[in-house]
Amino acid sequence: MNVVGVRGRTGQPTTGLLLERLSINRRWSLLGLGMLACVSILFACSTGALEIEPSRALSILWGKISGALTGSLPPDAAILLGIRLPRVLFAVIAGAGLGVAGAVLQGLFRNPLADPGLIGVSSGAAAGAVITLFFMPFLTAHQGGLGADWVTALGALAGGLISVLLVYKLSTKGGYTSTVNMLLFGIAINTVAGSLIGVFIYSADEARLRSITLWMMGSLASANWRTLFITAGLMTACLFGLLRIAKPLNAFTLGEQQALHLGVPVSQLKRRVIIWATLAVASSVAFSGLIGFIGLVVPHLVRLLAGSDHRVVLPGSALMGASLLVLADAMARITVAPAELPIGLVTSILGAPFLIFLLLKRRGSVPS
Amino acid sequence: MICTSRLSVIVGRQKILKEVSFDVHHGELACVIGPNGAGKSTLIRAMSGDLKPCEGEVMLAGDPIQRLALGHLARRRAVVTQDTSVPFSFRAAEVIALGLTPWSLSHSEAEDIISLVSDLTDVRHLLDRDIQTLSGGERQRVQLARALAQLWPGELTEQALLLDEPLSALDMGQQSRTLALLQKLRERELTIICVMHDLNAALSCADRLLVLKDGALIADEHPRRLDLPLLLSQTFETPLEQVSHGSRETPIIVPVTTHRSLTPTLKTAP
Repeated sequence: MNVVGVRGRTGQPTTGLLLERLSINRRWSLLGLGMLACVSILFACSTGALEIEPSRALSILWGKISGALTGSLPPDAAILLGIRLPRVLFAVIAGAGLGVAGAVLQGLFRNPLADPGLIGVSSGAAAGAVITLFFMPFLTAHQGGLGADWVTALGALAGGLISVLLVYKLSTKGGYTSTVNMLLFGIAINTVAGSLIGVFIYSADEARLRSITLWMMGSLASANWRTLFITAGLMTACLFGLLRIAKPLNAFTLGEQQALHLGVPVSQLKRRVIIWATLAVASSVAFSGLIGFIGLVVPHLVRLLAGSDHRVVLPGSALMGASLLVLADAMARITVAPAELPIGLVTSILGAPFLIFLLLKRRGSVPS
Repeated sequence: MICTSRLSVIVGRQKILKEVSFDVHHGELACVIGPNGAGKSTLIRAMSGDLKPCEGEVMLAGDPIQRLALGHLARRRAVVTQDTSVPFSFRAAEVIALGLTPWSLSHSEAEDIISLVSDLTDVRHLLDRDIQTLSGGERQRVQLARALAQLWPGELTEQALLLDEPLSALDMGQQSRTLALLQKLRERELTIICVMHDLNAALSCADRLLVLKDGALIADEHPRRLDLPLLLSQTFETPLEQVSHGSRETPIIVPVTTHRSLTPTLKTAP
């Protein structure tokens, strides 16, 4: 290693373990976000049509984990373990997936206003779901025993994956994928998907129109242990894939060329981001319908709190996304109880003002 | 140390570089000059491995760079491009630390290197600042520090630093300090290739002058061996003259701005 005895022009002493200090800040921030997620989960488990004291909820959960809770369950335990807990955990998984996917896509596009919708996954999933819902009577008559929720979820998953595959293929030439072209083709595919949705909505009867509209506004009401396990399996793979790319993604924020100069295999990085982020978003929205703003807003909140290093932004976005979606779902359940608000509405109502705040802040910080 | 052999590069349908061949030796500081659109930045991009040549190749210490693994190449050459923007709020110290991406170092080793390169580039007082709040010149120095951090854990004598207009956003004081730094790095036998628009800055520091015009290398000489005013006047298609100034070792090149040549542009409508 090179050693030189050069002091600063002004002879200043060393700044004193700046990186160490930043690293400690990152750890504390993640610890804080982890605690926020735990508190949110406990709050959501306690809140609903039937109030359950947090201490009672904890004792039910502990009883289930330790095996002390057996035989016929008391009503509050049955509601918590059978209905509320899978729904809360589904919100944790979907929120974490949407948060991380938003953070990696903002890193990939080097644009703090990018969100998973840009590459066509959300609109593709919506088009897939709408087409499936339109043909639901035919599909439920011919699909071998799957419920309508599952058929819609498969349609949404397929729609999201197909549209991103199209965007990716169209943006790749000679083995090189241009992020600018991805944005442009993403806009084009979003428009095509929007038109498809429009055509099917226009042709739908009252009953279909209602189911399509409800799906588009999102809801976690269909979450159960079965959907939870499948989504959790997919999301674990996605989170494992995405959290590992934090360091190269940091280099990518300097620009594609500079990342290449730093030894980052840029094409491979882009492919990994697109595949895992698409799968994370598609599997999040497949059972829950469209949930906006989590992918856009959460990475910003984490950056405001803990800085822009992706080693904290990615896990932090998972924790913050989980917390916010759990709280939004709790709000959706209790605001107009015993009815429910669509969760997409809650996230949009809360997220849109925040987006305006971000844009105003950005306008103030960027010199004209 | 780093050489090109009949290097040609096509961008779009345009042949930007045409059979460019030169060899920059260990510890040499070569300045690439030429008019706008001559292919200077394309040359740096081709030499850094960003652009694949349609003919010829770039060799780094005898190895064709296109065949070197990315990580290995990153440990042997660093590049500072003209784009110094960072879209997120990173501290300057974090940006410099990104230069260490190709290496596996402990926190204390990383701190030592960041401390050293921030002294060399005069950015120590900026380390805790948000990169987005820095001026263009400050960002340029932070990027230079990042590139030095990328090379520092290795052997400078076996590495190359490629710079694309590193002085363009710097004030006069910082320009002269950066030129002094380049001299210091050259004394440590780091090989440097630097695109410059400021002819006098290039003349004051370069061991070699690589003159590009229309994608072709039209001169590759020591600055003092050339008939400078004639060559540069032809290159930039404007009359230039050489002025000697006091104790300054290197000549100064200035445009010949006679009253007659200015007259047409100063004429006002009757």
